[in-house]
Amino acid sequence: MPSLTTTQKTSAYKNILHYLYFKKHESPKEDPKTPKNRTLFVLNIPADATESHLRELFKPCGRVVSVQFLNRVRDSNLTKEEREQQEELERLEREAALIEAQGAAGTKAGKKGGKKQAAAAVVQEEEHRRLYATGSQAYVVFLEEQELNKALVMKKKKRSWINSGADASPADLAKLTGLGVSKWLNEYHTRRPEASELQLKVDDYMDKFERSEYEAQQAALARHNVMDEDGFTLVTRAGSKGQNSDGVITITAAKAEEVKNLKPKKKELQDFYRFQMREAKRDKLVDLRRKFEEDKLRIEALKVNRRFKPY
Amino acid sequence: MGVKNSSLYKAPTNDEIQGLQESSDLFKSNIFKLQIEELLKEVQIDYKKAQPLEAALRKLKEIFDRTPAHQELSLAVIKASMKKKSVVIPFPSPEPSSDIQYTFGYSAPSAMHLVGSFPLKTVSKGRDGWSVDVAVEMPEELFQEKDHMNYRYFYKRAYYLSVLAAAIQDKKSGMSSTRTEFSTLHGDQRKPILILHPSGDKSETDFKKMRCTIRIIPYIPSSVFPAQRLAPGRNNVRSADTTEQPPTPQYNTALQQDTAFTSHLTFLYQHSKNCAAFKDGCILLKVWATQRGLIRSTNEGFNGFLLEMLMAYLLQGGGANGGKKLANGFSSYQLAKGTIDFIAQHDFTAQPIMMGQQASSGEFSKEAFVSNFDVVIVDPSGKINLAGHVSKAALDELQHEARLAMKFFTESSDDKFEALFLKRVDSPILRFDNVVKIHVPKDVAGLKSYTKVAALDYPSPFVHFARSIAPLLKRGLTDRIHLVATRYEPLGNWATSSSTPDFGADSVITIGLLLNAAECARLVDLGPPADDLEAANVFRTLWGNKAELRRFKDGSILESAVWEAQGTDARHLIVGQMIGYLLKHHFAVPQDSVHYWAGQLNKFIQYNSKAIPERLFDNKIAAANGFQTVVNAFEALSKAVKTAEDMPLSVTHMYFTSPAARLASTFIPQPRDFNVPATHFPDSAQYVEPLDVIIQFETSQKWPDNLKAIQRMKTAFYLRLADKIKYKGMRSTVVEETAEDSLGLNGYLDVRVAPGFVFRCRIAYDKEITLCEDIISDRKSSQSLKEQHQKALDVYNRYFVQAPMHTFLMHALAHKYPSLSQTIRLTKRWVSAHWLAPYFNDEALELLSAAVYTDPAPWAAPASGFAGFARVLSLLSTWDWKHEPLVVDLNGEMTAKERDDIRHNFANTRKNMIASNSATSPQTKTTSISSDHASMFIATNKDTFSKWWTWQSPSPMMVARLKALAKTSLDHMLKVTAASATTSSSALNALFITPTAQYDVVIDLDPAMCTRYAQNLSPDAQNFVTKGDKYKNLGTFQKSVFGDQILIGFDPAAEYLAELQRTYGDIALFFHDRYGGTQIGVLWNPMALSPRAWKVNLGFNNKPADVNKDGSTKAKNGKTTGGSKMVVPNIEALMSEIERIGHGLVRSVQVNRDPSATN
Repeated sequence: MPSLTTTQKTSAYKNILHYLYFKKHESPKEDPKTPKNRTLFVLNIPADATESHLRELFKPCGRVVSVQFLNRVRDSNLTKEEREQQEELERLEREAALIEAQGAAGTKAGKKGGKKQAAAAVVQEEEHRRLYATGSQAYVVFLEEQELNKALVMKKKKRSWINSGADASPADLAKLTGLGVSKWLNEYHTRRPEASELQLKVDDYMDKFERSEYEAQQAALARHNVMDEDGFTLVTRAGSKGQNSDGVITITAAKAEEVKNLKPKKKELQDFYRFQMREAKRDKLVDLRRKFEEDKLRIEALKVNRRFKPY
Repeated sequence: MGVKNSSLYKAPTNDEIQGLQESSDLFKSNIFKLQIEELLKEVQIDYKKAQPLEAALRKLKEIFDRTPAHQELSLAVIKASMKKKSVVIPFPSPEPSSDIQYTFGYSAPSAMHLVGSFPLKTVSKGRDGWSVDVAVEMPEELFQEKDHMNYRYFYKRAYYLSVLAAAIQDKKSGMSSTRTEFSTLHGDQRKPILILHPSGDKSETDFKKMRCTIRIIPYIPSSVFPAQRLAPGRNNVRSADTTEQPPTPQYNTALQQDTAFTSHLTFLYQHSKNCAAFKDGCILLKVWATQRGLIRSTNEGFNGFLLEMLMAYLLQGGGANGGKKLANGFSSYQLAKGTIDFIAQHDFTAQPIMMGQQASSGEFSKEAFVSNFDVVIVDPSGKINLAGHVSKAALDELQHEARLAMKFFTESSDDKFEALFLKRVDSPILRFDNVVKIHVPKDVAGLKSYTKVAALDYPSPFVHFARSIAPLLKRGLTDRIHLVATRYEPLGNWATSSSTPDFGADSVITIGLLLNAAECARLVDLGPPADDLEAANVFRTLWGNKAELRRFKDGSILESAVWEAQGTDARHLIVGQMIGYLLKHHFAVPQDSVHYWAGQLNKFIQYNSKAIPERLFDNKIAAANGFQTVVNAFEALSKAVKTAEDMPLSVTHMYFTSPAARLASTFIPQPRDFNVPATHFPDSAQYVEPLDVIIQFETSQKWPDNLKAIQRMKTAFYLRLADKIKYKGMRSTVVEETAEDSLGLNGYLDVRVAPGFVFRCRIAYDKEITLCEDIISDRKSSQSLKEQHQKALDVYNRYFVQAPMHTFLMHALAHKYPSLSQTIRLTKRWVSAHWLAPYFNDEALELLSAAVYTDPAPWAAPASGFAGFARVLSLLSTWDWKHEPLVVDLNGEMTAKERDDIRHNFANTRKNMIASNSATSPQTKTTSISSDHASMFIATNKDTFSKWWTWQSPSPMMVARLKALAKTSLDHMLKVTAASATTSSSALNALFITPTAQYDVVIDLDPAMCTRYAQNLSPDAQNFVTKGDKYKNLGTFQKSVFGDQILIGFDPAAEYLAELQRTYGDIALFFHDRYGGTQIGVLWNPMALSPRAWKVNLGFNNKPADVNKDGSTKAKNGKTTGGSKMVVPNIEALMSEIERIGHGLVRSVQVNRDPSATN
């Protein structure tokens, strides 16, 4: 795996070396977002890396189409249904967010071409800058395969990431915007949108949510009481009142605890037979002994932990 | 546990049955019995090793017998002859005048007896070893008939003692290598004794191994003086200064007691013969008393002998209806407990103790004793008051401790053995609510109260002064206090060649006060009505100028004393004012020699008034109003929300769950006037704390069944609510958190309520619990989904279930114990000041503070923040978290069963912890539930698993650090308060200054950017002045970098800290003082620092292990591609990342240590 070094100068730390590792992305699954032969897998990126950082870094090798950060590994443990459900909800959220963004972009970018929109997206990214867990990974997708290959044969070499202090250029300073205090301020204000905006968002979400709920309900209903090819009809419970989907018979499964309580209790005389008395006596003694032994152990433990010296 | 069944079921022997039975009948419990046995082993002495001691005693007798007798030497002669032997005769003061006519002599002792605890086998080894008492009988012929008068007996006794001392020191004696010292018997300066330390020369008389000293006590047979002459009412000291001849009971008793050593020994011996457990009982009793400082070597208090006599007496009387209190068949535990019970209950004033037959009238009648002594415990002869020297204050203290002890004995729910016997509890700062140290007035002998008459019975003006403080304070403070205890350092031993010491001008008297929390803050003391002239006069003499006539609302005109104080904190210091006044008024003690420890810590929980102008934060107003202002504001909000119209659902409950609601926020919340623009505040004081509130709606079926949709629904409610209360003068903002993976608590409503508080309202909806639980318990859900929902559930429970319950219980407790609030606030401040706030929940610290109130053993619950805080430190510095759960019984209703359950839960947690520690290799991240959870196990009535507040954090490492810090802090506190050099609170500053050297990196933040900087312990005033002095009145600051809006709860330092923890939490720990701290400490995780194999998801910024600083590969022949696959964290790159992330806030980064360098 080739590695790449970048330097960075700050007031306290001059000429700090940061190591990036990268390799060709390989995956058994084909994902359109990370096409097999054009994707570079970059590791150990700095926590404050942005798309433009990486674009600039790989510019000498060729044209970078997209950069995707892997903040956290996508859960492979989710069951299929769950994932679908989650994706559906995320889609709803994204749409809600998009409405918002369009509202914002509409005023800013006007009717200019698609390229500008991408630029606007970058600007937004800078404003809402995210941090990645330290030592995260990213995919860098190139336009063509050669460009990827060119990147792969890059020499190990120092490249500048950011300068600061006296050497800082306006471009370097720009890399710091959206970090620190300004980032937190920004987040503070983002969390407090205009009431009307928020209302719109909530209403939209609820509309969509209700629609999808309704659809799901309809779909479930449609599955009920339909004879399958073998001639069976699946009868399930619907609603909370214990009514079945065909409205005829009501069946409830008894719970384990209920069954246990149904059993008749055997009544037995206590302290009646001589053997009972004997046993009770013996048990009492055993109990005493056991407690005594336990206490002795406890004292032993106490003796080990702290001694009984009062002074 | 590991007990084999077979052994449990085998047939019992008689002995065994008896043994098992015994422990439940005679002792509190098995465990108590076993603990007592262990304790006795520790304090008893080994009589088998006593041979050298016995040899030494024989040798002594030989020396004394050998010493030549001489008669009738004058004072001048004996002084000279002793001087030759370099012994100064330890004459008590007043020294004999040179013109005395009587003479001194010596002849060999007529008898020598071992007395005291050694022959009785009731020795309890103390902190400073123990002693063997040898009573040496002075022959009768040395004394004349009138020798009981005017110290003549005591002078002769002193001479006799110095002859003995000289004899031992004589080179030819054979014991001259033993070190000899003079001391006093029970602190009575009239009665010097001789102390022999072991020689250590390994001769046959060297008793060093016994770790004891020999005390030589001269005495006379009781036949020397007729008993009548020493009756309590007699006068035996005459003075040229006064013609009066008042009784001299102290003097008389001191002499009487010198005649009774053997008879008392016989009395005790009889009882120890009849009662098998008597000896052990005595030892227990003495250990208990010693731990409490009740046995001391000053003349006013109790001693071990007196307690033994008391126990012996109870074996023959003292019970109900004239019966016996104790029986001979009792166990040691029952004997000690019975005696303590008697002390606790008995009214010593109404029923003075007469051990033997008593004269119904005459000079030895009960009345004669009562009228001459504070405390009366008359020995079996009916003539000697054993407690003649004991002051009433000492008895009060003993009785207070006894009552406490009885509470611990009878509390069945918990085993208090340690509190009763093992813990040393005599440190005044921990034991008392307020501690006063008085430097003795210079002219103590010239005090009005030290009259010539008093001087006859109290030759030392200091002792007399010390004795008269407590009665005065008790009279003045009435029901404001439960107890006044005084004590002073005893004289100690002195070399035989130096003259008798006395209490000097540097003597210090320590007064400990236990406050009555309900009354101590009272502003007015009411006296008698004006027309009761006699009583009014008494009141006026007590209070001097402070007494004034006042007409009260009910029309009565009363004498009264009024005190000025505003606010709870100040009112709790009234007692201090009163003591200062009383001491000045009656004893002319100047204010500056009264060191009063009580309010010194208050400044640490206020804004620093020196640096911060009142315009910004006014401590006085805050202190005067306390938490009431914020509670009122909440009530207003609650009313507005509940009466909001047109809400789809009506609000049923509002809960105020912020620490301020339970009087537990470090700072009393101060309103911020929202009409004043933000620019009028410096950025360093911009912080506005949001206060948590929960809104509960009536139940409804209309909520969606999906967690995310519920959150949106809540947002809709917030929006509606904001709209509705807008017209009630409450502006509010709906906030939506953007955290991606949180399922709950996405939003809240910040409401601004007059006079300037912000309430952060969240809607509680119970169904969320069920929804989460359904998914968690569903077998089909994936692990990650379960975890996600578990997290959501935890968050929900914390905010909506645990917080309100905790607030409810703590609020009740804070009202029960008024000083709890201060204790909590100090504790929080202290923990944060040591940068540990990120690891300890507010609630956990509150419970820790509550613990010293709910379970104050071995003391009583504190009644001042000063004592409360000291106790928290003491708890933290001694608690063994690994082996003991801390049980906090918040409402006092916990049963023994619940305690057992908690103990059980605790054992399980610890077992799992050990199991998981050994099972997992250090490299794997432990996410399983059983890994080191609840390393600080704090269980309450509602939370028997310690799951609420200390389950995840702190880690064992943090607990250990807290413990170490608590120990240093407490030591410092004890040192400063014991030194009595100053009472300035700055002496305690060090408690709140944390050492920073052990952090790998310390990040310095720009104070101008820290919005909470005003809360800093020592802020720089520069940050709070308006720019340019000319416009001071305008009070406008330069435009804030944060814009001109007031930002709620915005604290860049906290944001930064959170960001650091999110980003680097796996490889470093971050420490910060949340109350305006301007530094962040970083510790690298040592585990992450070692080189390891490279892999994709390592989780930290790394670099190849084999590169040099400039990036070149370390010389390794021929291997260039890839190098080795080992990597280490790239610390420098990490640091520069950290600096970039804190852009604008970070001022500088100082590296204390380069961790990679050590590898």
